Amino acid sequence: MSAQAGFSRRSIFLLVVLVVLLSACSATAYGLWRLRAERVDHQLEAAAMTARGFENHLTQSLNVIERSLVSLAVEGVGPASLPQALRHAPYLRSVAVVDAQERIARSTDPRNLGIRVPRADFRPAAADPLEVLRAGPIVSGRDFYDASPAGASAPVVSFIPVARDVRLDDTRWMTVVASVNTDYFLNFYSAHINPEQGVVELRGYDGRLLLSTDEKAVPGSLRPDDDLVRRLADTEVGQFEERDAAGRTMLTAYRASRAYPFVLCVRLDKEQALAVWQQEALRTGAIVAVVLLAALTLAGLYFMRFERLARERESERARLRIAAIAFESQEGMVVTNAAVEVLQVNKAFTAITGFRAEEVIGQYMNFMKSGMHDADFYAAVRTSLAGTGAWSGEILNKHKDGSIHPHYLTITAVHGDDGQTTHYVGTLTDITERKRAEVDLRIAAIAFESQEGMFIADANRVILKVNRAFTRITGYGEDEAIGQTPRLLRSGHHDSGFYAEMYASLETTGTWQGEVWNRRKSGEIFPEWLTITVVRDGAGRISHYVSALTDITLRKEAEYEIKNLAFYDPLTHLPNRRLLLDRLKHVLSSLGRSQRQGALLFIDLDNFKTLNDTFGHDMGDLLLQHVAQRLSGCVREGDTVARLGGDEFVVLLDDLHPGRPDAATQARIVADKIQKNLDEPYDLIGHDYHCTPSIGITLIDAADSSCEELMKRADLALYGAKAAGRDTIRFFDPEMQEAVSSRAALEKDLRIGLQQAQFLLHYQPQVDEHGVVIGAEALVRWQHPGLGMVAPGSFIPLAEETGLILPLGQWVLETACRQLASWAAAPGRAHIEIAVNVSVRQFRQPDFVAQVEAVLARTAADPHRLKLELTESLMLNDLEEVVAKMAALRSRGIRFSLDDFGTGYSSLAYLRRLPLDQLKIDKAFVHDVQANANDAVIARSIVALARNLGLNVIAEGVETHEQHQFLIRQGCPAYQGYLFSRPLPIDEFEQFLDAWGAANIVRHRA
Amino acid sequence: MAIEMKRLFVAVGCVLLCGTPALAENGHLERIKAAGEVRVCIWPDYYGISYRNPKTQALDGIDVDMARALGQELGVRVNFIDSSFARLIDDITQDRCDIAMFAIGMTPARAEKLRFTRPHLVSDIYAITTRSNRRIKTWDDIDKPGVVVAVAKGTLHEPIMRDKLRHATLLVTDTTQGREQEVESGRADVFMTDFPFSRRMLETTDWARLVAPTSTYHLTPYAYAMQKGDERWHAWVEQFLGRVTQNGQLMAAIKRHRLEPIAIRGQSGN
Repeated sequence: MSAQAGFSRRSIFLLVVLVVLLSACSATAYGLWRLRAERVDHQLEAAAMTARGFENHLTQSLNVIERSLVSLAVEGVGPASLPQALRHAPYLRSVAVVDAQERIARSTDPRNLGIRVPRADFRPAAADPLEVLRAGPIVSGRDFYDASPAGASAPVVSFIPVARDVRLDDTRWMTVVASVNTDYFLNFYSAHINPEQGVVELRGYDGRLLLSTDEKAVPGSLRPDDDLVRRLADTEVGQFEERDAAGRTMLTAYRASRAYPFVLCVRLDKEQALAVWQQEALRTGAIVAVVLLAALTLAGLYFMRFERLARERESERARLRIAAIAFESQEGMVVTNAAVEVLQVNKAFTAITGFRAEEVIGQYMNFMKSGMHDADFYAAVRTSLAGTGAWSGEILNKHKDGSIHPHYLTITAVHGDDGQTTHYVGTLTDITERKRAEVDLRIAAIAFESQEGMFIADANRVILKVNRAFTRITGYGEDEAIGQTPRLLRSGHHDSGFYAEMYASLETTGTWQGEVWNRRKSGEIFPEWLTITVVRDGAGRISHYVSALTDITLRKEAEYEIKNLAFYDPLTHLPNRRLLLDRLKHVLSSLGRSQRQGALLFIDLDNFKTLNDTFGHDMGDLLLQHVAQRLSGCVREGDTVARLGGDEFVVLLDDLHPGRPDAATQARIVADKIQKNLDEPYDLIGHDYHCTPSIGITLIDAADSSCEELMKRADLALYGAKAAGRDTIRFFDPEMQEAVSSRAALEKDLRIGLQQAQFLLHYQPQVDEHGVVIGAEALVRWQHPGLGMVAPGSFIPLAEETGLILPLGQWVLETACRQLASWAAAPGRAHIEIAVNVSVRQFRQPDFVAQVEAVLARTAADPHRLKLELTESLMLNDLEEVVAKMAALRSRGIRFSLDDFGTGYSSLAYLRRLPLDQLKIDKAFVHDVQANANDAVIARSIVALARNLGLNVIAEGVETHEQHQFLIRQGCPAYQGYLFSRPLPIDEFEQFLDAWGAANIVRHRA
Repeated sequence: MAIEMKRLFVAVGCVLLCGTPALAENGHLERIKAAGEVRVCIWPDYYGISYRNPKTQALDGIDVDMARALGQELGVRVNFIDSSFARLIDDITQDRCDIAMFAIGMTPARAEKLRFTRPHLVSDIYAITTRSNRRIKTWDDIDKPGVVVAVAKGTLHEPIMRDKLRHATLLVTDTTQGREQEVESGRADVFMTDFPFSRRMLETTDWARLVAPTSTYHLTPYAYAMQKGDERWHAWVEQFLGRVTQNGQLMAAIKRHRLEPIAIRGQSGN
């Protein structure tokens, strides 16, 4: 309602302002427009006045000139009278008399004499003498003597010739001419009119310009668009507006001379003429604008004041309404007179206290007294009211039903004009609920500061509040934690699934608890027991999460300790007997499923008791710790080192080679390593101590052993070792012991053999389908001093195991290469190739390529004659590396043959990728081609495969003609075997070559 | 030879004629005292110096003021005698006046015949042309072929311009009015005059336009002139001039007639 009134008031005000503005503007505009018109009129009038004045001057001057000339002619032209004519006549340059030949006969300036002055030049035109002053065109020059027609630009000096025929008597005429000083008139004009006021022009009746105060104007010119001549025909006096050549609007006033053929024009630029008006208009506009602005400002201020008053009236009315409403507010109100007798109570008062208005009006205001406050309390209330005129505080009051409630009461004394109290107004609120809530809050606050770390997060999991225990546990202060999410504490030990489950549980059950690994501010990761409870709002939406966390580090540590004690030896931290047995059981069960073997080693320190007795248990314990460390360093990751107690250690080896002898050898090698390591001296706090172990070994046989049985066997083996004089290794199985011992001896012999060059090479010929010997396979033989010639099968595996294969292989390669080099020069042998077997271990050496290159360089053998035979097991290794090495060697010309093809792991993919030259059909297939149809198929397939892959192929172990014939039929191009020759020492091989060559030729010839 | 002789004759005549009043008891001073008047030659057309206003016939100008001061000093009437630059030497030598007081340019030719007092003004030469003259815009346009320069006969400008002009044509008129007429009618382009006269032209005509030299052209000191030979009279006038210079009377008169631009600096006595 009031807003609408305000709006309409404003509209009216704006409308009035608009009307005033519009009328003021239009009045100003009209006034200015009028002024402008007046100004133009005035200027034109002024120009006309000026033109009139100048015309007057011109006519009079010409009149004087005419009379001078006439009197000169009449009075006679003597030498004395001529100059007299010029006295006081600044408008004349000279006067002269013209003779019948139109030449100057006499002149005030002798230089003019004889100059021709044609009558025809003068206007108005007259062939016969005429008694009027006639004017010629303006002439450039000072006088007749240097006259020249006016040019294209204003001349520096000019004059206008005039002529007058004077009748001397009835028959005689005299023509007198004068040169009129144009400067005289220009001086006159420019002295009387500023260039700004206008341009004065003197023109002939034909419109030609004679003079102009505008220096740029060219005398003698005709203005092309000039309509002065036309106007002259109408009236000799006039004024008009015109547009000049430059496009300016000119105000022109003209006036023709009353007596002579001249017209005076005064022209002014309208724009210039209006410049004054423009200034005036601007000034007027500015003044009007300022006055209007001031008036508007005043009106606006007045309006705003009016508005404010109106608003104040409105709000006064509103206040009164509010006061009425306020009295019926939620607070109980009671009004008493100065004698504290109730005058009025409101509905809320009744609702709170139960007392109805009609029950209490007129009553003394003590009907709610609870009796819970003493006299001092009421005295304080009265003092406060008397002093400040108000009191407020909590008070216990009795309701109508007799119950006592805490109220918050405000009493205000109302004073009359004389300062005396007239009324008291009491406002009271029942604060029973609030009191209860306060207590609850206090309890909650205390509960929150418990020993458990607690934090409260909102629905977005932003932490709102943490307690001191939280800070103590996590290290994060209140200021650091608040505003963060619990992510702050994340350790990274739990995956996102863990948290997803947690929140899912919270969503469904409203609570979650469990163990969580979190990170303290210090970075330390610790376990905590976390309980989260969801708080929901009235609509059932999650509003808060309350989390309680307990640091369970100590508990976890205790748990860990217990577990450790149960499974680990506290001194060495090695697994104890219990864990060992556990693992042994596990090994037993897993061995049962695979072909692999295991072994159990019992290790006992010799004379440990003496150390204990001599240096004490501390020293003994220290030694045990050292031994534990060394043992752990001797085994592979999957193996177990355990301590049974005292100086008894056990090593459980898992995953050994299949086959008992191999497994035994492997176990033996580990035992050797252990023995060697434990034999090293120990540094026991400055004491250099030496001790030796005894080791008992049993292989783990899944079939028939239990854990206890195995432990017993190993123990027995250890006992055997001790009995054999300590620092010894013993197997439980006597056969095994024997085998291991003989292997150890053989290994020793092998080393010696290498040192003493007991090895030699035999060569088995390789023959093509035409029966020509194309090469030989080099085969190593061991000339054992005691055992005689040892077959490779007996020592090569051992050499592989012990790594002796590397020097041996190197020796074989070098010897073969030397042979190649020596054959290279021999006639009929230069084409012989030698195939050398390369073991996997040898090939795997990182510098294998370099080794081969070095050998080739040393021996100067032709690499094209060298063929390296590899086995399929090579492909179990890094194929990329194998291919790279083969490619490198092949680039040198060396070729590769795949040995024993068909027996092992063959893959067409590998065959395609390896840069091979030859496949070698294993003798097993060759042997049975006659008897076994499968083998025949295989042999046939290999030949076909090789052909398809573009590889060469050779069959080994060819022993019979049938086999040979079969292979020939399959298209196999090369053969090796006893059918041709056994492997031969070098001398015999060379003899064979010679003999075979001859025989072969014979055979071919046959 | 004949000229020499004539000059000698004039000089002798001069001595004869002028020598007599040079006697102490019969000098100008005594004559003035005896007659009760001092005869002062003026040129009544000399605006600002010794100008007779044609409308009132009252004399006005610095030298009129100074002449009256002189008369006052002498305690006699001042009898102003009309003269001109053309007649000056005759008027003085033939003793038609006791002193010529109309800012007489100290030229060598005059100094030959006359006795000058100390100068009290110094003026350069100025040219007057018409407002609408298109040929003459600046001083440098004057000495050009085709330009006609008018001077009045007998003025100090006549010999100076005759000497200085190289290309322009010199037109010597018999009277000072003549040179003005020549210029106004356009027969001449400029006439040469000094500062006081140029002021008159600008103030009394509506056609005159001043063309001032771009730098100092020819300075001429102005003084009073008297007969040669009467040392007492000359000394008396010098003393008078010393006094009026000292007491500022001269400067006040210069200022009154707005001639400060040509006052000789340092003569005010300060």
